[in-house]
Amino acid sequence: MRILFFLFSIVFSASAFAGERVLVFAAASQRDAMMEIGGLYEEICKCRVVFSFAATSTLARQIDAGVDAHAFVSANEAWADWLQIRGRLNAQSRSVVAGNRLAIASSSLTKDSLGILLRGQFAMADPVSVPAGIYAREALENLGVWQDVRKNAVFSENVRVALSSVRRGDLLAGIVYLSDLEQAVGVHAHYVFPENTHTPIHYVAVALKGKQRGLDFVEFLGTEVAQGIFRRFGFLQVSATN
Amino acid sequence: MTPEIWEIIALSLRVSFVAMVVAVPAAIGVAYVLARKSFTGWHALNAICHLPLVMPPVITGYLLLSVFSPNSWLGSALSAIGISFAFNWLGAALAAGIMAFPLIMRPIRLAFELQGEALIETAQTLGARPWSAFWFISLPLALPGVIAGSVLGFAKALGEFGATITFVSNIPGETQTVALAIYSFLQSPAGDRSALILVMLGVAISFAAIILSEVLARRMIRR
Repeated sequence: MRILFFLFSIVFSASAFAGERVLVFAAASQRDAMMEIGGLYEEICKCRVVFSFAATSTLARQIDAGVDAHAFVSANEAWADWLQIRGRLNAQSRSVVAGNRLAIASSSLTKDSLGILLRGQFAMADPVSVPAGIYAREALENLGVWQDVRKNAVFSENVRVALSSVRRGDLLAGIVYLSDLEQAVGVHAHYVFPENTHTPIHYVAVALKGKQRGLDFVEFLGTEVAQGIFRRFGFLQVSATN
Repeated sequence: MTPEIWEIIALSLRVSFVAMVVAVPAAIGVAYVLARKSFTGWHALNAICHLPLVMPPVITGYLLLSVFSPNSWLGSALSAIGISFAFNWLGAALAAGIMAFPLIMRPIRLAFELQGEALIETAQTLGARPWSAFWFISLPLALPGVIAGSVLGFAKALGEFGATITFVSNIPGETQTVALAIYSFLQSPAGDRSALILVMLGVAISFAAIILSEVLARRMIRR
């Protein structure tokens, strides 16, 4: 009984945190870079940065439903547009904080570039709902090979799943973000899609309406320190804002 | 083992525990009604209770978000009287409880159905009021079903992912339960180890819960 009581007291004890809280809703694919940037920012703002990582679409719907968050980092421009139209965002604060490229990941050392997709099954994110999959399909269509390779495509619900199936050797290749390959072991960029084959991959940061702390955080993402961290995790610097 | 991991475990246990405290009595009530009564709307009630089992969890989460969000009609009415499920652990418990409900209810309903009417009728001819017949005869006899349902429900509540992340997001210390934390860790190549630790702890907790329930059940039967 005493043990049960002890367990209860742990489970129900309220955790106390110091300082004000900045709640950032961020695309799950940015987790590594964001955690590091958040850690740095905590020292500067003397606050506590809390991230909620999920699919951009999920986060956008929650912000629209009225979550009390401060800032939003979207994996594409479309969901930021969607929220902006609904009047949830501080439109002036909106800026592109990082960019990315699309690549074919593989451990194969052949030089057949795009042709690897014809050699066997490959992984890619779902081309209907997941941004990475939408970009991939767009690029393959523009390169005129989508109809030929789609029968080999295995759709996954996010890029990480696609990448790990390549890393484990279950599939020959996978279409992922170039940034995903920065720390991946055993796979490399077999082919990088030319930038003009798909809509630019932009991560958009924006403060929620009326949230000063969100505004400060979004500004911090544009600083050289934060940009350096993005670069180190394989993201591309995008100079222009808005 | 970092403090964050303990925080995640503690939060998950709190969420699942509170979900069970509300869902189990509700499931007993509904199971009894479904097992013993026939009425118009029986099929509707039965179907509604099974919906969380059949619908994709994301849909359940989205419906909860639409109904209980601060911008919704019900959500703002509730917050006026100081109740909020929006993006806090209570919301996570609500999602877990609803997702677990059919799993809790089904074994209990089966237990009530297997009892037959004879025993209750006998009790009532001997002067027992319906309420005391339920309390002293039906419910004790259905206890194995209650325990089986509770164990299933607790395990489900602990592992719930889709409805939770859709409804209350993935906020550490508030709504980030074990399943959501595993998802977060798996987003980065460096997170595999932490994810594995959480998976093992999750398995250990479920294991312990099942053994505990088995021990409790035997003790009750001995009485």
